[in-house]
Amino acid sequence: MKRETHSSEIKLVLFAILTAVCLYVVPSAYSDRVFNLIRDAAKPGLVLVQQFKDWQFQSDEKPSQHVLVEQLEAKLLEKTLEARRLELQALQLADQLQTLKQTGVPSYQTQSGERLLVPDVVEAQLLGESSIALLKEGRLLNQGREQGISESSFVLQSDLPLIDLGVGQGIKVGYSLYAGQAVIGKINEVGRWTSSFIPITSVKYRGSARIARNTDQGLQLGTDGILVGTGEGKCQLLQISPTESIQVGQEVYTGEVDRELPLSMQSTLGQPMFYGRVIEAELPRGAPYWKIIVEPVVELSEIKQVNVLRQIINPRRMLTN
Amino acid sequence: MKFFCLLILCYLLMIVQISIVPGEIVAGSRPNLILLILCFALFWHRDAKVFLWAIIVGLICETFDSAIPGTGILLLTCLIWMAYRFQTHFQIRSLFNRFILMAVMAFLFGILFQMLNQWDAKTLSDLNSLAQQSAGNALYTAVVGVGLLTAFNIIWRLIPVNVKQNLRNKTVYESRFTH
Repeated sequence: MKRETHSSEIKLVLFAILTAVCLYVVPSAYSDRVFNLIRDAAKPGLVLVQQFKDWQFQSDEKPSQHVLVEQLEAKLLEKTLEARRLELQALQLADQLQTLKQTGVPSYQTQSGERLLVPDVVEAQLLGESSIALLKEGRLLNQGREQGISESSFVLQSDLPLIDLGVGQGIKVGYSLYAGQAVIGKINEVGRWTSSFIPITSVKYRGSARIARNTDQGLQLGTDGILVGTGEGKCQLLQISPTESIQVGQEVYTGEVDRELPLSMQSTLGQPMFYGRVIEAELPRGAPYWKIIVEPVVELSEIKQVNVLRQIINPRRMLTN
Repeated sequence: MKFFCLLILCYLLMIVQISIVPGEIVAGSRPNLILLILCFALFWHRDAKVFLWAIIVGLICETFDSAIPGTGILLLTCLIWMAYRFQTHFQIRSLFNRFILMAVMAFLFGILFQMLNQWDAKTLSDLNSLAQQSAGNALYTAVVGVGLLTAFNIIWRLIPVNVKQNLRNKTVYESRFTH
């Protein structure tokens, strides 16, 4: 038995060595056939593993791609806002340069003094339908007419949207409301605790506005027109003369002077604010003005918080006095 | 049955060796799973059929290493013959001895196979680095081999059917030890 095993061992060793020698001796075309046979046999398994790896890679990649897209979108938004800020800054500087060219540079040294009236922005919350309903029913505050609380204290008679600031916070009629750099509307009526405002898309809204054009010299603002709400979620820019070059997509900013407001209520921000973009521009034959439709940059339903721009006396001036 | 099971394992390990092992390099070393098949054949067959496995494994090594035809088979036949004689003489069964055997086999095969196929390019300094590389690969191979052997033992114990008994070859040597 043991001898048989030993014999088969020798035979198989000799067979293996003979196979090795044959492979070495035979032309590579023949040995390659054997190797190709092994490669072909391995192929289905390798394809399967590759498919599994691809599937795993795709399932790993999807969330990371989603996160990357969100990051890039946030970055793009940030850069867009930054670009707009720089464009406006350049515009202000260009205005200053223009003024200096007209008036000439003084030959004496000047010191810029503190402005008497400075802009002051306060945050306000938009009151939702449910909050307004509670106020109307008198359930929110457990106070009666004896304490002088009436609907007029909250400006509840109108159907206009409300903010939670009133006389106590120094709010006055005509003050502008912003969301970031975008104009939302202006104060219509001021109550003791709340104020109503006219959104820019309301037919009651009127404000000074102008179109910005991208030129070789940078952003340039056109002449002032009047922006009115259409009541259908859009605005119309009026009184833009046919000599102006208007194109769809151009941006609309607040005008230099709001003719609807007394001088004391004019914006003191010192920079134009954003209304929206031109979506339709038409110049009918023989018409004295362009017919321009503007889409607001933000919708009221998208925001919960606004900024109210008011004017206060510069605290530094008060301290120096 | 045992030959067939090993053939399937050989195919699986070949796929793993080609597609997964290149991404699992530890300290510059990677295991030679194909060689482990030959070692498993040696441990499980315990007869002269192991030389058939030397031919199969040699062919696979030559195919995927683009080696000189015949060198893999020749080298593995020589190595496995020595290992076979060693095993039949000393009745190797413990896990530690198998670990040593796999490590030595992997080291010798690694260094000799490289030398046979790239002899002209090797200087003495290259030989030194080749020996270090082969030692790392051999250690990694032996660790993986022991891991696989342990895993197979656990699986065989968990399966209710006595596979080991069914697969036992009655014509070969009997163990002196009880486990």
